[in-house]
Amino acid sequence: MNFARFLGRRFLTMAVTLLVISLLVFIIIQLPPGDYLSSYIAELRAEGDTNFEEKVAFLRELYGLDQPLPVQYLQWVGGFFRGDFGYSFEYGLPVADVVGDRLFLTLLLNFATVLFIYLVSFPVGLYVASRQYGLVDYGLTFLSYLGLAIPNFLLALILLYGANVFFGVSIGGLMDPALADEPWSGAKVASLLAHLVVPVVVIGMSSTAAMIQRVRANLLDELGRPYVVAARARGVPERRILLKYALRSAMNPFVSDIGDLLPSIVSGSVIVSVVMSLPTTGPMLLSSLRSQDMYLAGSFLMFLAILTVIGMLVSDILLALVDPRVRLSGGKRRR
Amino acid sequence: MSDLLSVEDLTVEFWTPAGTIRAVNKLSFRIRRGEVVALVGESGSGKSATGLALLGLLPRVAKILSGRMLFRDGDAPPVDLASLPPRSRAFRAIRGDRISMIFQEPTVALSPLHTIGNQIGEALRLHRDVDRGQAHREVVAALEAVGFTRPEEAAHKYPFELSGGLNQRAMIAMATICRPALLIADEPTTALDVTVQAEVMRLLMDLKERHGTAILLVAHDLGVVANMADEMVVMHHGEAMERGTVRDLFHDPRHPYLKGLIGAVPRLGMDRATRLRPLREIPVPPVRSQARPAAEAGRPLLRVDDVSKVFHPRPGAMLAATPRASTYAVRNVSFEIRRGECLGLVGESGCGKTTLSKIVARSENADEGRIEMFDADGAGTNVLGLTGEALRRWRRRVQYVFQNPYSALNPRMTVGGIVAEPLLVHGIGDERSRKARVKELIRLVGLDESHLNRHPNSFSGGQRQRIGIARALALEPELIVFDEPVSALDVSVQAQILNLVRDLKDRLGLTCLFISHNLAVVDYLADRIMVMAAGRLVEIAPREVLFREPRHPYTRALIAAIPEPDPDNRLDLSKLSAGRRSDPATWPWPYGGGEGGAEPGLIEVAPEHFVRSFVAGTPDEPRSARHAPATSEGRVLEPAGAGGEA
Repeated sequence: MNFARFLGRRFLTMAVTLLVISLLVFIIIQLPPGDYLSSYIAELRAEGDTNFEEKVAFLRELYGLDQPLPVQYLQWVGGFFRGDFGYSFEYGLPVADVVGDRLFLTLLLNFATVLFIYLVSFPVGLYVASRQYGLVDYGLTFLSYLGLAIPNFLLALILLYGANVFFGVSIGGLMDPALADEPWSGAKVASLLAHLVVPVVVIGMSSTAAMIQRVRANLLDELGRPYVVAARARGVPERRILLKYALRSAMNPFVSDIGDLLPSIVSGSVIVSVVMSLPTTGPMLLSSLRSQDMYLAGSFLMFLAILTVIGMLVSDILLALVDPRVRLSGGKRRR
Repeated sequence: MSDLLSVEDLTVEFWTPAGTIRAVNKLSFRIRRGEVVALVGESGSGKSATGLALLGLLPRVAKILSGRMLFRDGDAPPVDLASLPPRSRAFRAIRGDRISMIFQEPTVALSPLHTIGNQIGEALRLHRDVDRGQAHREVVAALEAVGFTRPEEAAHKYPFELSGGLNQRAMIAMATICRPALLIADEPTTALDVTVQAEVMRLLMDLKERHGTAILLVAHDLGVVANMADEMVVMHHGEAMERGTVRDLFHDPRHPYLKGLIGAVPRLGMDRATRLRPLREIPVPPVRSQARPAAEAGRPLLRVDDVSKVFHPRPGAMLAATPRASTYAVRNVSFEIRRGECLGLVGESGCGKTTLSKIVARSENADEGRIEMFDADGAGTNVLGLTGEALRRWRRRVQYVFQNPYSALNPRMTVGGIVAEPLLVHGIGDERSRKARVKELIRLVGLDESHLNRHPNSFSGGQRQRIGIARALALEPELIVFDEPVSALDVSVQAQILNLVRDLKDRLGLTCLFISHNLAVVDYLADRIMVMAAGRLVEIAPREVLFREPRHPYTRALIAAIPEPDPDNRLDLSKLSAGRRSDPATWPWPYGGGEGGAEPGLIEVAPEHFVRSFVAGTPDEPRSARHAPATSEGRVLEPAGAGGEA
C-alpha cells in the first residue's frame, strides 16, 4: 500500500534528520570554550576550596568529560534510547527529573494556546471576510492590529499589575503555590485550569491577531476565484460558499502551520514565562544554555527537533486529508 | 417565437480607484427561445460584464445604472433581472436552474477540493427536491450525456485529475443538469485545443437542438461564432456596434468595426499576398539593410536529429493509486530548419511543442539525439554538446519570444533597459552604440523612442509583445523561436503582431520557428508546417500541401476541426465525434499499431512532404498487409524507434 510506503520513507528521513541535528546540537554546545566544570572550578577557587582539583577530577570522570568528544557524543545519544538524557550539573539531578512536570505543563499551556488561537481567529476571520469593508470589518481589523502591536510580555505585566491592584490576586504561576508540590488531585487540576486562562490569552493574543488577518486575506482571496463565481452561478447561497468552498481552500496554509507551531511550544514564550513565573521549559532552556549545562540544554534542543519533525509529519498527513491534490498528485500548494 | 430574454438599455459601471468605467453602455438585444445569440468583441468590450449582469454575478464594484433585463420563462410573468437584488432568494432560484453559465477556464471554475460529481449534484440538490441517491444517478446520467465514457468513475474524480476538455464537459453537465432555459457560455472554448473545441461546440449545439436551450455565446473567436450562432451582437467599448443574423453580418458587415474584426482574422488558405488588416495598422519604418544575403536562403541552419526527452513523475504522492509512468515529452523527433524560412509548429497543448522549442534554445536538455547548427559557410556546431563559455556565446544565435508578454518582461526595468540587456550581457558595443541600437530596434517594432524610459506595465499586451520581439532581435540572432506569441492577445492586436513578424521576416531575412496551436495563424506565416502529437512529429510539409492533402489521421482531425469564420461553411459537427486523434493508440495502420509497440519513422510521401508512417502509401489506398515489413519506398528520415515507454 502506498500510504505505508510513504510513512516508511518519512520515518527514515526523520531518523536521519534527527541524527544530523543531534550531532549539530552536540557540536554547538561544545563550541564555546570551557565546560560547566571550568565555571565550577572558578567558583570553588573563589570560595577558597583547596582540594578542588581532586573534586573536579572526580566529577570529570563521573560525567565522562575526560573522554574524547566522539565517545561523549555516542554516550549521550545512546542514552536517549534508554530514556537516559544525561545529568544536569546545575541541578545535580538527572535531566529527566529536572524537567519532570515542566514538560507536561508546557505542552498543556501551549496546546491550550494553539487551540485558543484557532478557535478565536477562524470564526472572527470568517465573519470579517463575509463583511468586507463593513464597520465590523474595520473595527475588528483595528483591534487585531492593536493586538499585533502590543508585545505580549507587556500585556502580561499590565494584567499582573491590574489583577494585583484591582482584585488583589496574584495571577502568576500555573497553579496555587500551596498546591505546587502536592500530588495531583481535583483541586490541583481546577487551580491549574483557572490559572491557565490568563497566560493563554497573553501568549496567544498576537498570534490570534495575526491569524485573523491571514484568515481574512486568504478567504477574500478565495472568494474572488472563478470557482466561487461558478458556484454562485449555480445558485449556491453565500453562507455555503464561504463554508464549503472558500474555507476549505483557505485551510491549507494553516494546516501546514501546525508543523511550525509545535517547536514554539518549548522555546517560545520565554519572556512571558519569566514575567509570569510560569513553570514551563522556556526559562530553564535559557538558563541551561547560559551556564553550559550541556546535557540539559542538549536534551531540550533535541526535544525541540523531535517536535519539529513530528509536527511536519502531522501537518503533511493532515494536508493530504484536507487537500486531494496533495493526496493524489503529490503536488503541494502552500499559500 | 417569443423572446426569452430582452435586454433594454443596459448600462453597467465599474468603480475603480482610477475612476468610473462604463463597461456596458445602453446595450439592447434579445434572445429568442432555443436560439444562439453571440456577443462578439475584444477584451474590455463589456461582453463578459453583460453575461455576469444577467446572472447577478457582477463584482461589488460594479453597478447596474439603468436598463431592464426581462426574462420570460415559460408562462410565468416576466422577471426584470436588473431590479432583482442579486443576493435574494428569488434570484438564487433562477441562477443555476433557469439561467446557468459555463466559463472560460474550466479547470479553475471548478473547486479543486471537491469531486466533480459533488459539484454537479449540488446544482441539482439546490434547485430540485431530490435525495442523495437520486442526485447521484442524475449526475451519472448527465456525465454520460456529455460524453464521459465511464461516468460512474468520473463522478468521483477531482478537476485536477481531468483534462481541460473533460472539465469543460463537466461544467456543461453542471450547467445543464437542471435544464435551464438559457445558458450563458462565456468564451467556452477559448482555453481548449481546436479538436476539443469542436467537441464542446457539438455538445452545446446538441443541447440547443434536443432541449431547446437558448445560448448566449460570449466569444471573440469569429470562427466559433460563425459556426454556432443564429444572431450576433458586436460590442465595442460597451456599446453594440452592430446587430443582426450571423449570415447577414458576415456577408455584409456595415459597421467599420465589424469589418475590421473580420479582416483581422487569419483564415486557412489565405493568399500569400493578402495581408491581415488590423483595426489600427502599426507602421514599421524602412530599416537599414541588415537582411542576410539571399544566397544563404534555403541552406540548412539547424538540424534536429532523433531528439527525445522523457519526463519522470516526481515521487511523493502519498495516496496515489499507482505510481505514474515516465512519459515521453518529445519522442524521436527529427527535422531541419532552413535559412530564411519560417517553420510552423502546431499541436495541442501538452503535445511537446514547447519542450521541443526549449530544447532547440538549450533551456531544456534532451535525453537523446543530436542538434547541429550550421554557419553561413556550412561549418556545424553540436548544440547539445555546448557547455560553459561556448554555450554562452552560442546563445547569441538563437533567441526566444514568449507566449505571455505580461510575465516575460521584468516589471522593474525600463523598456530601454529590457531591450539593451542582451547587448549588455554579451558585451556588444559601448554605451552610445547600444543606445542607438535600442532606438533603432524599438522603431523597428513600431514603437516610439519616447517609450524607452517607461516600464512595461504602462503598455498593452500587444505593445509588450513587440518589446519582447525587439529584445529578441537585439542580438541579430540567426534563429528566433516564437512560442505562441499571439495566443494571449486580442484578434486585432494579433493581426498587428503577425504582420510585424511577417514584415521583419521579409526585410531582415529572419529564420524562425513559429509555434502555435492555431493552424490559421501558422498558415499565415509559415513556409513549412510541422504537426506534433503526443511528443511525436507526425507530419511535415509545405503549408499549402499540408492543408490540401493532409495524410496523418491526427493532422486530418486537426484541420477538420477548425471553425471557419464563415456561416455558410460550417463544420459538420456530427462527423467530429470520433475525430479526436491525439492519442497514438487510435492511429490506424500504417500510422500506428506497429508490431510489439514499434514506432514508425518519417517517410517522404511526396517531395518535401513527410509523414510518420510505416509505409509510403496514401491512406486512400488502404493496405491490408498489416504485417508487411516497412517498405523502403521513399526516403526514411528517421529510423523506427522501437521499444515501449520507459
